[in-house]
Amino acid sequence: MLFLIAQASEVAAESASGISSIGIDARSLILQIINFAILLLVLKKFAYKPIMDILDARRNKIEEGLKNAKESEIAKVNMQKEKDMVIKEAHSKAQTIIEQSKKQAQDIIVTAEIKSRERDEQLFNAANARIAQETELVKKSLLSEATNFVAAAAEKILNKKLDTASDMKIIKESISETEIV
Amino acid sequence: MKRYSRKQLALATISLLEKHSLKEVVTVLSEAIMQEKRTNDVEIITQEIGKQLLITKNHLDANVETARALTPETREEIADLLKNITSAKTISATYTVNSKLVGGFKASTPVVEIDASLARPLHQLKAKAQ
Repeated sequence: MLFLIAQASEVAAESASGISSIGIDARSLILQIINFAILLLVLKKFAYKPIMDILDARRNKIEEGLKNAKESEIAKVNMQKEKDMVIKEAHSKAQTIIEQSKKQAQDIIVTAEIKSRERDEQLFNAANARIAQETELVKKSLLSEATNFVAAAAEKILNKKLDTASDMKIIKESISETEIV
Repeated sequence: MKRYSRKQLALATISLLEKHSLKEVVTVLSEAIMQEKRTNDVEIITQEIGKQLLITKNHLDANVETARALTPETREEIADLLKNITSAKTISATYTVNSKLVGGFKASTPVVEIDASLARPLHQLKAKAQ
């Protein structure tokens, strides 16, 4: 630094003759320049750099904040999209489940109706069969009773009405029929 | 002890009847049946005797049932009928009255049975109704 000042004094001494002609003290000017430079260096080292660092840090912070805000916005949008998609999917699934449930309910109703119809038919057929069976039994019973009655009546009438002569005639007829056979 | 067949017993009985009285033959046959413990077969053996009597001697033994007592003429007609059917030359028939027959007659021989009674169709009718 001292070297620079001496050198500047020398340069100022050499050029004093030119500048002093217009009323400017060259030495004083150089010293002021040197002072200014020193001030500039001091400011640069102790004031400007920290201020710039603070500003940079602040700018970085703001940029980071903005970036975060932007990312948050994007995340929000994405989340909204995802939410919409989930809701849409849930709606779709719910709709599918409702459709399936309706179809199942319809199937159950149809199956129940078919089963009910089949059971009714079976009951009807069973009842018909039973009625037919009972009718047949009653018919047989009636026929049996009627036949027994007829046979008993015929036996009684024959016992009462058939005399010896008629019986002999029957026997003779039987003999002739047997001979023919 | 040797066990005789029904046919052998029947033929032996017929053979014995030629030389001995009926009472003696019946006694011997009864003893044989008792000894062989064949009392359950008496009816079948009797039938076999009747059958062999018809085969070997052309004699028919018959039971005739009627609802009323038969006239001699009708008896003869029935006997002739049975002889014709079985080709027997002689016949000894037993006639019994059974009012359950209602009318007609029923004849039983060792080889054939004729049911021409009025009870038969009535029984058939009843059986069909069951």
